[in-house]
Amino acid sequence: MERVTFKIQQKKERPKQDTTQDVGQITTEIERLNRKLDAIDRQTYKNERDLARQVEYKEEIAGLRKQLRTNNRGYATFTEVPIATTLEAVEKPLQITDARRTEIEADTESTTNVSLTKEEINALLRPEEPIEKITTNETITPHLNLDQTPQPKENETVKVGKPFENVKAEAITEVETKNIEQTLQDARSYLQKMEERKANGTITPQDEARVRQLRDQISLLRGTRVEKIAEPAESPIDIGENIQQSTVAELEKERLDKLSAGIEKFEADGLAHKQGELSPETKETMVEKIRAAVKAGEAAQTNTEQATQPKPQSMEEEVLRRREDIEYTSRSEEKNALMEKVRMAVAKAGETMRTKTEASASPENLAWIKGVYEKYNKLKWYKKVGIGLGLSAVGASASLAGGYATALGAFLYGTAATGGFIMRGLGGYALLDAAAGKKVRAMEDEHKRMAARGKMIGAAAIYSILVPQLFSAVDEGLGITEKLGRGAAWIGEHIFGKTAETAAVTVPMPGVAHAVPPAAPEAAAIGKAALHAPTAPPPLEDEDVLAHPFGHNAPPVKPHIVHAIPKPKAPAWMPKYMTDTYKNPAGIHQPQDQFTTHMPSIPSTPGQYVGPGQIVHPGPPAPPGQLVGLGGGTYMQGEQPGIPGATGTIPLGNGNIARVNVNILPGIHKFFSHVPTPEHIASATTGIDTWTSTTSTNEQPMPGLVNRPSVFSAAPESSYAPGVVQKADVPPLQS
Amino acid sequence: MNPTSPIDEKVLKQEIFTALGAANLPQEMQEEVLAVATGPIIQAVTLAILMKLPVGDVQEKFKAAFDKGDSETVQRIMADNIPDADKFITEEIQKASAEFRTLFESEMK
Repeated sequence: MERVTFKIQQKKERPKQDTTQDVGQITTEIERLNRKLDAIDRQTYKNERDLARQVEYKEEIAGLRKQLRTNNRGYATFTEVPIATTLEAVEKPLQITDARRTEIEADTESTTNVSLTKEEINALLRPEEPIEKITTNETITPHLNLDQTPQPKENETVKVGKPFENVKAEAITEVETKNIEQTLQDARSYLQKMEERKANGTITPQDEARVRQLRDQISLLRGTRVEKIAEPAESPIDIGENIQQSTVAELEKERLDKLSAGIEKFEADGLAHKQGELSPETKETMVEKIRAAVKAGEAAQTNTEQATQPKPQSMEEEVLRRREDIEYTSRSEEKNALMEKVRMAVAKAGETMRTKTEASASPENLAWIKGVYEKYNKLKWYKKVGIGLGLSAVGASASLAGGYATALGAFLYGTAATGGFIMRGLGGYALLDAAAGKKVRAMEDEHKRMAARGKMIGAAAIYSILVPQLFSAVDEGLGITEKLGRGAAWIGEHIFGKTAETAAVTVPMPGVAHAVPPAAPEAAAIGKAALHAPTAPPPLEDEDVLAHPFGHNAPPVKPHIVHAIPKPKAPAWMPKYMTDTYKNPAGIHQPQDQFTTHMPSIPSTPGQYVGPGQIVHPGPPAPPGQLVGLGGGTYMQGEQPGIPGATGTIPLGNGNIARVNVNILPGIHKFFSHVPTPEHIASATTGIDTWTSTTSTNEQPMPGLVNRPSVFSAAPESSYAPGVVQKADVPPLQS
Repeated sequence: MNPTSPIDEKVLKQEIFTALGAANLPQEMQEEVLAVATGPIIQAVTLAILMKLPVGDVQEKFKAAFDKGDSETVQRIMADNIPDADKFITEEIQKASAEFRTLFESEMK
């Protein structure tokens, strides 16, 4: 047995959350991310990266909101009082300045005679744009006319955001009361619609923002904000979090201070006016200043609103918690702009070149040559990159030193220990069917021989492999394979590349002849499937082809069994037909006691990240009911070189270890709020390939638990974008 | 020993992206450029190969083999009908890459 050095990616310790972090900063960050999301939404063309970024931003926002909740939960217990105080405080100077209003009226020839209500004050002080237009059948009676614009007429569309704008000052009438009620009703309907969207999972951050605004409007019309801080602190968690009240109190104080500053200024201006010093400009800016003060105060309050939002489900909480373990990077606005520019330029250049090429084709070749491009265009992104790298390498190698040319064969086709540039980029041999795989290997051998003789690989051979071969060799499993590759790449980029530190661990691994370097972020970036497969899988003969979860035409996969370790007992939940004997799709009977793991093991600590190609033994079994998951914090093993994906082990809580062959899709994490059963796993098919009961000699997908291609194809593409979290819809575990 | 050290990959990638006019872009943008550029480059090179072949049966066989993914036949047809096919294809790839680079750089200005 040879020993192979792996680098185990050790999770970087996260700094403890600073609960005193400036809420304003977090809010600003949320707004910034929302702007980015808006920018992506506005893009006509969204590629996979955009979708990935969308998801990433959304999750980042969710994380920030969670942080706010963590910081501020408990606010509801005392928020009402300061708000009422605030309203009173705001109202006070206006009441005081009744006399001044008369003077203003005289100055501006206004007919205003104000008796302001809290609602009017708020409406006056709030500069927001209307968030929804609601047509009423009745006129809102004017109350205040500061800018002397025409009054609304009957059946006119009234902007909810400014219900009292441009209206004359009169007493509130019954009609107006009805209008307010109508507005409230419409707003509630809208909120209900949004709630439905939220329940359906179709709500967007924009929707959420509008909902928040609308809630503000409702509160305004009610003259209080009590409604939106209604969440009672009931749970032990809430009680614990009420400790954070001091932070919230500080925020509230800050808000009131700002309001007071505005009010004082208002009063000072009023006094100045009384003394004949108030200019028309000052008069106009007075309200603006108050608005600014109120807005600043409300910004702080908005943060506290986060604390009052319904608590996420426990699973979501868990997903978020796990997600926080991954470090995200946000592209700067400038970089986004550059990206957009590059995208446009490259698209234009490509289009121009394509048009020119097609124009030069003879009529009999035109349709075919168009088809060549269309064929390419249908390929997924990372495959395009893989082929592009291969072809471009051919062109580039001519200008490189001879030494590079000799290495090009291994470099391109995977004979080197590190795996081939192209093959690795394309997700390895899993992408090819048996026949194509043999051809590629034959070519590869030839290239290896040529490289050994110092000859450069023929461009014609490379072209013929890369272009027609790969165009057609991909089977229907490609979509899945690609996603797997992308998922692996995502792991490589986000876990190995950015959040991990490496530490060398020596692992015995039979059949591996070369030292394997750590998973390089670069590798992931190259082909979006870069996993450092130690070697190419053994050549497959036709009879080696096994039933494969990828589908009928899927590439053959020969189990790469390492060796057996002591077998734990089958877990209690496992049905008898599974523990005794089952007949797999290939007709092979499995003996009873072979629910085993057979991985060579090395100790690992919970939360340690390992990657495909690395093998770990899970830590202590999780107690029943503990959240165990696949993804961050649990254990994965890539067992089959060249096959992106991983085998995860799940501590079952009873001393047993279940193992699932997991193909990690981009950003998809499966979390279970309890020990999962195979049925649960099967129900959460996305991201999980097979539930495998393993033996030391064979490895077959369980009947009925084989990953269904339809699951993948039916799911929206965006589901596979990095950062997408899908809940496993599973019932609680019966103890 | 692995004949391809990491530095080789770096140099080659640099060469590739230089050829496409994307050498100074961040990696993710380089990949974006490469993914988009490859289509027209393949199209241009394939058409150049096709036009180099005798009109008629040979061209049709080439198309059929290409569509089938029969790389051996494709390679054999090229070898049989194009003198120094390797050099020809290399030059065509370089030519197409250069054309793309020109177009891309002009769009970026």
